[in-house]
Amino acid sequence: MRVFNRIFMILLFAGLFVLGVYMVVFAFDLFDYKLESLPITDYANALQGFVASVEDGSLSVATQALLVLLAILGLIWFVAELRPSAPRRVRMGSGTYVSRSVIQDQVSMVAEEVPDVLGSSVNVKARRSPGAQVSLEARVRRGEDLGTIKSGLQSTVRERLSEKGLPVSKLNVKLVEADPRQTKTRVQ
Amino acid sequence: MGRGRFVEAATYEGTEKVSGVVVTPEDLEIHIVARYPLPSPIPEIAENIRERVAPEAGGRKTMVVVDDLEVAGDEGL
Repeated sequence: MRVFNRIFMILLFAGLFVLGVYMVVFAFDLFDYKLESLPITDYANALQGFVASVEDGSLSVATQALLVLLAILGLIWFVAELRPSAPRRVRMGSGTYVSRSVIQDQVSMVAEEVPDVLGSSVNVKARRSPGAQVSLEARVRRGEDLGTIKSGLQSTVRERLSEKGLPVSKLNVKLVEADPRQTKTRVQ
Repeated sequence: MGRGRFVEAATYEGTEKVSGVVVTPEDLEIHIVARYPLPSPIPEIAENIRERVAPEAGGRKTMVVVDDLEVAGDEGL
């Protein structure tokens, strides 16, 4: 949300700046631009008409739908803003943390030591509670017994990480059948 | 000591710079790099450091962050 907010605010301020420049140009009749030439009265009349039809309840179905959609979007945005952002580091205990990259490297290392795994990609998310949420995608040869590899991989990763004391609260393993010619390792 | 990942973890005092430690009026962050072979599990190492440093932190909330795990010989990389 922070990145979205930044982009939104940059665009908003850029728009306001451009409007400000236009306002100065038109207000002081610079470069032959005159305030009278702007269709301000047309906009004001249109806005007045819109407000009057809202008050009368005589809006078209499309306009009503658009307003409801805007209200829903605003509500979703509001809830998204209220949600606390995910922590950057993985909590181990009280006042002790480990960076996500450490867990990512370790999971990747352990996964690629498993004989059936040809390559892997790991995504680690920190949570407010101790332990990381790990998503491991492992690439295996076509035709392998995926169920056995998955359970073996899951238990190996959990075991090896707990030996080092690295906390993993949730481990999702996804196996992808791949062509060994396109993976990091061809033969294990 | 660790150096942080995106922003350098350091404290500046005058012309002096202390890497791996971030001191603010409320918090104290210690960034470390653990090296193999590990003498004990990582949370235990971090907790030991925290227990030793916390009494000297002047009431600041003390945090220990493990930035990296290093195998001996990785230092030059």
